[in-house]
Amino acid sequence: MAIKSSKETAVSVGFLSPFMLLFGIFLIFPIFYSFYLSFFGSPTDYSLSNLEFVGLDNYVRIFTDFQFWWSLMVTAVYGLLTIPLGIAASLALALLLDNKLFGKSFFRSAFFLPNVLDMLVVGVIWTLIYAPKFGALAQLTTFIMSEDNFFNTTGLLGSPYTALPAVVFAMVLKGAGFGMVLFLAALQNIPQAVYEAADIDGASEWQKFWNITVPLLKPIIVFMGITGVIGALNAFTEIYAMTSGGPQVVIGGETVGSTSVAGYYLYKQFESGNYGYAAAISYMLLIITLGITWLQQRLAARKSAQEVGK
Amino acid sequence: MDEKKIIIVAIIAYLALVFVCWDDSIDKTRDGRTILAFWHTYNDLEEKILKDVIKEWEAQNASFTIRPVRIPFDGHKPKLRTALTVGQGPDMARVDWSFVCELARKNAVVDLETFNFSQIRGQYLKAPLETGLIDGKYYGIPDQTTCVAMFYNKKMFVDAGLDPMVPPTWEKFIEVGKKLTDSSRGQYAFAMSNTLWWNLPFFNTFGAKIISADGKKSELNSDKAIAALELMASLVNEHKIEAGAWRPGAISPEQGFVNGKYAMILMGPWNLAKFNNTKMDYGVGLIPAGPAGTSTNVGGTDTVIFKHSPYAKECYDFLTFFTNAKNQARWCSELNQLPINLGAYDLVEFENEHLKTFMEQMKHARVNPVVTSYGLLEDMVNPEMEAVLSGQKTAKEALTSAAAKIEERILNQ
Repeated sequence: MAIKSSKETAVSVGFLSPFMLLFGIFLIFPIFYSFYLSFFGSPTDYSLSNLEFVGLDNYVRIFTDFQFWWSLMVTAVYGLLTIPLGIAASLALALLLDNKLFGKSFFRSAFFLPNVLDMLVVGVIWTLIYAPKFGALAQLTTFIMSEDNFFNTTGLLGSPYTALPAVVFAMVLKGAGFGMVLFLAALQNIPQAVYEAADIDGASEWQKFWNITVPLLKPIIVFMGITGVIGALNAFTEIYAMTSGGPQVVIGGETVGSTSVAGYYLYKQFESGNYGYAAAISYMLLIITLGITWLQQRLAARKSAQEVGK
Repeated sequence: MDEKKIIIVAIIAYLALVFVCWDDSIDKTRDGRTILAFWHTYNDLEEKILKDVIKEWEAQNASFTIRPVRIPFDGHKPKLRTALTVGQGPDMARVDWSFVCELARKNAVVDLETFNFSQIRGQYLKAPLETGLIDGKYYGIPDQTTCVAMFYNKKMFVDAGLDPMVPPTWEKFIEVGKKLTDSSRGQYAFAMSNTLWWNLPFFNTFGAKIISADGKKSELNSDKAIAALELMASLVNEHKIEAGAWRPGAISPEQGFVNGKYAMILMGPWNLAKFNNTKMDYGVGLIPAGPAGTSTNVGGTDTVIFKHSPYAKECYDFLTFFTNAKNQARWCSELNQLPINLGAYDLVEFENEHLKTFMEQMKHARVNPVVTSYGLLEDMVNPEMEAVLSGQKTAKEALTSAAAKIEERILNQ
């Protein structure tokens, strides 16, 4: 028996080893190496062995880097817009398609389709839709209104006040299909008897939604909240494809990108060859992500405990 | 273990073995010739001529062979950085002009004076040659050069009752621009990008410098530079003859020009063939003159030799052969490009009128700013220029801020 078990283990390890090798080289090693790198300055040549040790300087620099804190604030706004709107859009679609609607299979596939597309492709498509002068939105608004309308002259991505909401709108629509599938699965697991009992008690549609549907969907909402926070802190491709961090806005005399999220700022540092500083920023973002996720879970757990107590 | 499992394990083991034992450092051919690796970014047509030139050079250098390796232009900088970091770089490479400074200051490329480059460098056109001049030494041999000139849509000029020609000065440009602009029809006189390289012609026509001659200060906050940026902003905000193509997400100058919406754009010779295919009636003229006359920027590429190559002398020999007058004449006449070798101008009969304009424009080119990280320079300047174009800052405020950042984060690093 023991011989068979060890043989099975050896076979399993054999099959797993190619993946583990790649996993180790391309994921585990970079995680530790970037932590090591965060204590070094920018290289003066192309040899990573000649890096100057700077201790905690990179981490200290983060605290005085206005551009970083600005990018973190943009990330927070991005997250605060995308997460609730994403959850609301997903839930709305799920509720809509949970009914006996004509052609619901088609709509389910149609709403899920953008989620399958690459983020870069979706970003480029929306850039073309938003483009002033010749974009679809500009053409439509010019047809309805006059030539001299905002969508035609400046475009949603051309103004620092509308660029981030425009990116959010595109990303909410892209991600809504995935959330919709999760909510649909959860909705179909809610026993019909609960609603029937509420009907007997004389509950309105809104009361049933708020007091039955939403509490029973809470695990999905929490899951989407946590993955949404991680997604916002990692946001990069959509910004790269749609705005490159712009348009610029002047805050307290400092020119900053109105859509320069932390992930994009990190990329720009890496692109400029500031490997040590970029690594320090990525660890700072990791700490923030872990902190927020921990807080979210604690809050969710506390609320559950309170509800059980009731 | 059954047969199927054994086969799967054997395949996995073989792949792992290949992965671990892969060796890319073979430097001799089977017949004993030494291989010199040349990483380049040429297109199909260019590569074909390159291979012909290689054959000619190999006929005179029987113990060597050049192995051309094509890498994408967009990713050539990170690819070379990574290769150099892990000690797997080529013997020589063709790189963007803006990359030579980084390679030189990071001690990766050979000072060409090692091979008495001063004896032959007079054969190259000054502006592209200077892109390889870093801290008083030459590290790059130019192999291709570009600049921008003013493209104009002849039909739009005629429709507006104007002579189809680029106005000679910026004052006239504004005057003509107002007649060409009809915002109600989405038609604008001019469209511009918002990157430093594309806007260097504005700064150069005002005689403004970005970096001082000793490379220690930024002169971007000079009166000349401020006046140049004020002119750009006035085209957008005061005279309203610019289309807003510099805004994020807007239709690019190139696209709008092809669609007959923008009457004039700054563009390089690389798009001549593409524009010819559209059958549009267009012309190319010199960039309007500012206080310092007409001027333009310098683009293009240089070839460099890496220090780790044990065959640097042979690489130098090949690259000077590749860029000699005869080979440049062939290269430019077949590809419709600007020669970088002065001797080639006597050997080529250019029939393309537009190319002749570019050659004239190139004579007025000014040397580009030399900094270790050109990308970072753009990152410092572009947002500030955008703040001025969008009316959030004055040119003086923006350029003073940009100059301070350049000195702090680039020049004093």
